[in-house]
Amino acid sequence: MSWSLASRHRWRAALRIHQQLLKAQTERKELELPREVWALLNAKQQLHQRALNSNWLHAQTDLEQNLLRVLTDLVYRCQEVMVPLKKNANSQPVISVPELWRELEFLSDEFEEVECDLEACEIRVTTDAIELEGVNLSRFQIILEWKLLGNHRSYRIKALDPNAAESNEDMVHPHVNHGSLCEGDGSQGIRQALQQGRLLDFFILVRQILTTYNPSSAYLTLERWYGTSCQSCSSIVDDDDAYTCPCCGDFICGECTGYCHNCTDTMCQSCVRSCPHCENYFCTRCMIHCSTCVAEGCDACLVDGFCPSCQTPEVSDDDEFTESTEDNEEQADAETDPLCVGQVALSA
Amino acid sequence: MRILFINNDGSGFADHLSIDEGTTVQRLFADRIKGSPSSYLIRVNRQPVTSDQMLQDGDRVSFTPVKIEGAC
Repeated sequence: MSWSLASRHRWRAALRIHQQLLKAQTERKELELPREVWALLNAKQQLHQRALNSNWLHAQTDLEQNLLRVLTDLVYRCQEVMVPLKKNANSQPVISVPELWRELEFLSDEFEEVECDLEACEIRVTTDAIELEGVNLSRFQIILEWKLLGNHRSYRIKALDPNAAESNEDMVHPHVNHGSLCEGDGSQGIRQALQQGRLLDFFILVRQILTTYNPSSAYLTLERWYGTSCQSCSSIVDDDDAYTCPCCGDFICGECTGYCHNCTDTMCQSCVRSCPHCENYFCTRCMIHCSTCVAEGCDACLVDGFCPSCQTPEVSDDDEFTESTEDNEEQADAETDPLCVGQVALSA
Repeated sequence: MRILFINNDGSGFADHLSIDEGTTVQRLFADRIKGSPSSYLIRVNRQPVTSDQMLQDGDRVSFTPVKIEGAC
């Protein structure tokens, strides 16, 4: 059976990818044990022992807190050492070259275009045009650079016919930032697929993330893809120049903002009002109502919750004294003449 | 018989499984995945298949969610 040129090309790529996967799996870094933390722990323990022997209670308490901190640090540092050791202990055999070749062969069944670039050491696949929520984002290329397999990020995303966001020409997809995909729920699956050489699974996983819209965690939501429209004057505003009113949630431009004298927040002009008494502007959250006539006003003008018109006049000090004296006299009379019959009891 | 089972959902799983002769793709899915088959891309030996396909010894079966949410 004669192979096509493309198949032979993929076989060579499979050989090189296999070498890289072997290298990534067998690469060992020097272990850095937390010796200095251990030395510190020993020193603290000796001090603690001396405090115990001398019955220094305050010193014991202090040193125990110290020991706790050092022990916590030691545990954390030991766990860091364990991570690569666990990974090495659990590593599976590297996928064989024929299986890697099959991974590359079947890519054409899933993707419109597949390129195997031996010179650049890249596998490039092209997706169909992607449309999310009515926004046509066009086609994307997923580029795997196999020399970087085993590193943190060995692939990137490129928009072939970019339909970038109005406010940011670098934003070509809600979940792609400068070629880097926000993997989200697909992160672990992608990591495993690349470690195990399951290249078909890797490219499919990335494609499925690109074709799924998650508005709660997008760099830029699709409703703002064509620019943010000020809900007050309808002009299109750059993302950086748009405000969100904290009262009603509307997007507004800088020209349509208002300012609250009390909380100092910036908001839309519909959500600020002038206090009729001092004429400063306040937001709807900071305006209060008179307890009597329900008229609006600011906290400073409505004393104890009453507007100037409804506030009761103050009573003078002399009036208070006179009233108080009259009250006392009435009380004294009641005590000497409890039955109010003009008689008072006398002792024998 | 043994198959290579790959679940690309969540944290992922890829390992050999022993299954009964006559197990279909649908049966394996029902045993292993909580969800509807229509929410997954199902491949046997890297190719799309129908749910009533009977699995053979040495098959490579993968289930990949159709919707995978990216997150910043």
